[in-house]
Amino acid sequence: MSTDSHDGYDLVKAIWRTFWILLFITVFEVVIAIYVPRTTPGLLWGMRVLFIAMSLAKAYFIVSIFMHMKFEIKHLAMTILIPFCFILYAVVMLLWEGSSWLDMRIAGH
Amino acid sequence: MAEALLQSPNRSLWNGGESPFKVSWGKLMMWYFLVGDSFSFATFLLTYGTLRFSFTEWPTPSEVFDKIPFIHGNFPLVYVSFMTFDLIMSSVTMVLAVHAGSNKDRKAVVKWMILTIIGGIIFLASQAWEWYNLIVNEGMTMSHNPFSHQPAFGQLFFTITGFHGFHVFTGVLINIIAVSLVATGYFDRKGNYEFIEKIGLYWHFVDLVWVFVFLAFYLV
Repeated sequence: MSTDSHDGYDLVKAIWRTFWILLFITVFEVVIAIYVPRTTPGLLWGMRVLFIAMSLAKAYFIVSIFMHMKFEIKHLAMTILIPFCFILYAVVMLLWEGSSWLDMRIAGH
Repeated sequence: MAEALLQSPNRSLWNGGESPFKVSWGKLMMWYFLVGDSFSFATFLLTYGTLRFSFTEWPTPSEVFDKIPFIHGNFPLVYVSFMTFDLIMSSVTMVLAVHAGSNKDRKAVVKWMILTIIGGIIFLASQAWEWYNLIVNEGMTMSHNPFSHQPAFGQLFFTITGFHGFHVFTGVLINIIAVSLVATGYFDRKGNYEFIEKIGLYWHFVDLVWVFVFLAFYLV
């Protein structure tokens, strides 16, 4: 079962293009992580949001191009991606929990 | 899916007789295995995030992870960036192997698979060196954190990178088995290279987990 028969779509070119995108994003992330000072909390949290967004972008490229998800039936993609909404829920709940533990630590419990 | 509707308006993919997702059972089950494994890693990384978020202090990654093998001096995040590049590169060679497989080009599959295996071995060796350096030279273990007061730092780092490294290890093993099978012409006789596609999915999953481990431990 060949999934590489896409009319007019050069897969090899897309693969190398994705490689350069991933490399560029990674270098950008690392430069920011090394050189931007972590003194002001606003800047630090802004950086973290940026890192998370860039990592999600890398994940999108790896899943859609390298793992071929872009070319699969949309319902298949949905059965695989929708369960990750549970992880999103867990992230919110657990960071809320962690924040509460931090408050308790500061208050001296 | 659109052309199926155009040809016979009452025919849907769910009428039976074929896979409604137009994939083989083996490939579908590999996807669902990866979803489950993603939840395992998500659990570990969420634990890390929650605990780290609850502490008033935590070591700064660019100050802790700043060593390169054989070269004295401080190179913040350089070696782990090399490891990320290595894994991305091995993902590229893997997908090129899958592409060669779909064209039934046995020699190209062997070439790209060998490069993928080399990339995986370089990553494992790098991770082993990283562990050695942190444990022996810095004194960071499962019970002692030389950078701040939380032993959780070492516990989380070694557990999560250990699980990831183990996945890379099993991936390299199965890649070695696969390239051996390819070289004997097994998949030419079978008629398709779908096995390479399936282990390709596993290898990309390993790369994907590393993207998030890299994010969690070295960036944020």
